[in-house]
Amino acid sequence: MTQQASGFEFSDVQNDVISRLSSRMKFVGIFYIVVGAMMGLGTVAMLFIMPPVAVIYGLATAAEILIGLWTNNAASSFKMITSTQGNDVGYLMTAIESLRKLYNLQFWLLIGGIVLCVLVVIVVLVGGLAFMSQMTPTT
Amino acid sequence: MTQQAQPSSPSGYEFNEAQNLTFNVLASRMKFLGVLNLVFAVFIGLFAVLALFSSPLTLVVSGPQVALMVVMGLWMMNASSSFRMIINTKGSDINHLMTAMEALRKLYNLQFWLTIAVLVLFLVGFLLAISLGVFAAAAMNGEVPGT
Repeated sequence: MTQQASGFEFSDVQNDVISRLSSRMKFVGIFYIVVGAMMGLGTVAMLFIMPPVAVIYGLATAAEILIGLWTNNAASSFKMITSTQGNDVGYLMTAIESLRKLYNLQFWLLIGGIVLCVLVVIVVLVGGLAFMSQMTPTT
Repeated sequence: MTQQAQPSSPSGYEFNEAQNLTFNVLASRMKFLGVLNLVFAVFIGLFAVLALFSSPLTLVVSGPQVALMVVMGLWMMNASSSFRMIINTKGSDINHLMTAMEALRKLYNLQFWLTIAVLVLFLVGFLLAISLGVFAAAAMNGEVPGT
């Protein structure tokens, strides 16, 4: 018979793995947030110099901070698994949900990046062909 | 009373449908990112080999980058496969979960040490820049002997 949700507790060995994962994630998450905050300052400065670039910079800053926050949230939930009793699966699912958001964002950022690259290649090719056809002397 | 899961023996714990759905989305996203890491690593590796004829230094820069991307890609794919196994099999959910956790731990351990390396490099560069600035200022004021 299978067990459902409440009362499930991870063993000490499993808690050790989860605890080490949590501490590494916390550090990485904080680093992302700090870098994001510094990029935020850069974005504000860029607003006065080159507003269009500031928009791109702002988007990158938002992504950086979101990644940091979700990494940190997942780390905190993993830590709760090891430091509390009675709701391990609840905390686990909160952590997995944060990880899902984190990887979902990275997935869509990559898709966006790939689409942009393809668009740039198409524009360069079309522009190049148009330039070549203009340069070729017509008879 | 709480139930203690044993890593060596399957506990029989089963995640419910809603939880499986979350694992499913996470697994598919991680798989995509893992595969993409490997694809980019192959591209960078090929470019590094091609550039080797013009500049041998390329391999020194690209080699570690390719290795890191391959390792991270493989760990992401391992974690993804284990999350997927939680959904596709019965009776061993906790064991598959712990395999995924172990892959994630390795992934974040690597990121942790990479972050430390970046911070150390940044600090060294910062100190070096300050030292050079102080030395240059002293030289301009004629405070450095022999200048």
